[in-house]
Amino acid sequence: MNSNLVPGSIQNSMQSNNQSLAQAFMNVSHMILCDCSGSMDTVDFKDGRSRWERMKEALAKVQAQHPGQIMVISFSDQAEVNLDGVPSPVTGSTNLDAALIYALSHQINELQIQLIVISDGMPDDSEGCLKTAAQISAPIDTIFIGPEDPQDIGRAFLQKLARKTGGTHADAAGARFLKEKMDLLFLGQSHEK
Amino acid sequence: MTAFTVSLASSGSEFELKCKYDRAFIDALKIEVPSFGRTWDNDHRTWHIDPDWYKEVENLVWYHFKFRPTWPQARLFKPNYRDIDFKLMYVGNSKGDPDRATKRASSGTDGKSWDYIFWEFALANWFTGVTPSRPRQQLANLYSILEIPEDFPTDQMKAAFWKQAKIWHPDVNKTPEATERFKLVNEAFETLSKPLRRARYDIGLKIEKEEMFQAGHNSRGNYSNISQYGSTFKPPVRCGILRARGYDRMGRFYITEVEDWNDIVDQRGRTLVTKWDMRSQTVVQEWYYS
Repeated sequence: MNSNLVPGSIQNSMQSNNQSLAQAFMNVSHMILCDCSGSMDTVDFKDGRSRWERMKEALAKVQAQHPGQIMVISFSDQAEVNLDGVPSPVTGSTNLDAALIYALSHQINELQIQLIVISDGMPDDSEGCLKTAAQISAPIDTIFIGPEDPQDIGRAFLQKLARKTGGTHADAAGARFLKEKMDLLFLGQSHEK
Repeated sequence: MTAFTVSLASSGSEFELKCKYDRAFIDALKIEVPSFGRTWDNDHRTWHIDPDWYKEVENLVWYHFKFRPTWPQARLFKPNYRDIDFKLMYVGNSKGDPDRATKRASSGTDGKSWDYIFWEFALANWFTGVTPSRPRQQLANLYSILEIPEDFPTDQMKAAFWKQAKIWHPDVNKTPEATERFKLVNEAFETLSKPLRRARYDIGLKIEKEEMFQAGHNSRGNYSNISQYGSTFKPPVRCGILRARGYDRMGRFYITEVEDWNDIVDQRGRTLVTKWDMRSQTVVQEWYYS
């Protein structure tokens, strides 16, 4: 039993359509790389919900809107796939490079899968990330969900990552309005380049 | 030896299958029936087949030998249930197999062998009190549907399709599964004959295999959400002294019900747990405060 299975997640699609993972993967259009590092436990607003909880909620809504099209990949110390659509529990560091390498090694270039990175801070190896990103031909869209501080280096890094790959950057400080920002990216629109 | 014989093994837990050597049949058998559903007894030149897979074997025998075997007591096969007590030192994540959603067993070990197989529903029932549904429909590996290897040339796909279409077309094949199988043959051809679609499917297969491996070797030892076969239940990683009910099959004990599970606790009140890291050759034991 998995009470957390998100409607519209890949696993949900597999069950609904009686498909294998390989068959379900045929419909994937986006990989969303989700930061699940320790800082995602931070609560930015008075409602008491952490960045991770807000991200989880927003992801659930987007998956319901685009059933079977989104592969959620969490990264902290390492990267892992979340077929049930729920990002991994918060722990450890920000190894974004591992998630980018995962995407690259699964030929997203050839398959024309879009990448969206959601993160609240600087990755462990920012130079490594940029080097890996340079090998990815698709634009990488980024959404910053860290603190409001405009000088935050995590925000600056994500802006750079998007700019260098031809992607779009969006701000959703504290993961507020994250769903709306993702909607804009899915529509190919942006308020901030 | 006749061209093909099939019998029920003396233990009553598996079929014995003898046939003349046919390389194509053996290759197909290895594709259709996963390794845990078959073993080869070299001394007696006999295949031992898990009764759960007799349908697949029947179809293969018909295709390769044009012989439809009578399965002794196949439909009457009933496991002999018994209770056992044992010390459990590791439970892996549940695994399925690419073609069938009914095989959702986790492996347990006494620290020396892998002789205990938990059906996932048995673990879920013990730890949550809820029995997950057990989907019965077959999931498809498109390559095995066309009975071809994964590196089969795309330009020869049509020949592979026609070969299977001739076998499974409902006008020719009157078995109940023919219509469904013919649909799968068409789907397999539609996907595998187009290079871009095939590339995407191949990546999906790669991810599928990786996820199955991860499901068996989850280094974090937490509740995994990567099992792909229906439920995603992952038992806590603690060891225990167990009483369980189940049946013998293929040299292993399949557990259908956990009747009692006592954690192994030291004098400081810590519980023994195990994990299996990616690079480790064996399970690692650790003591944790509950």
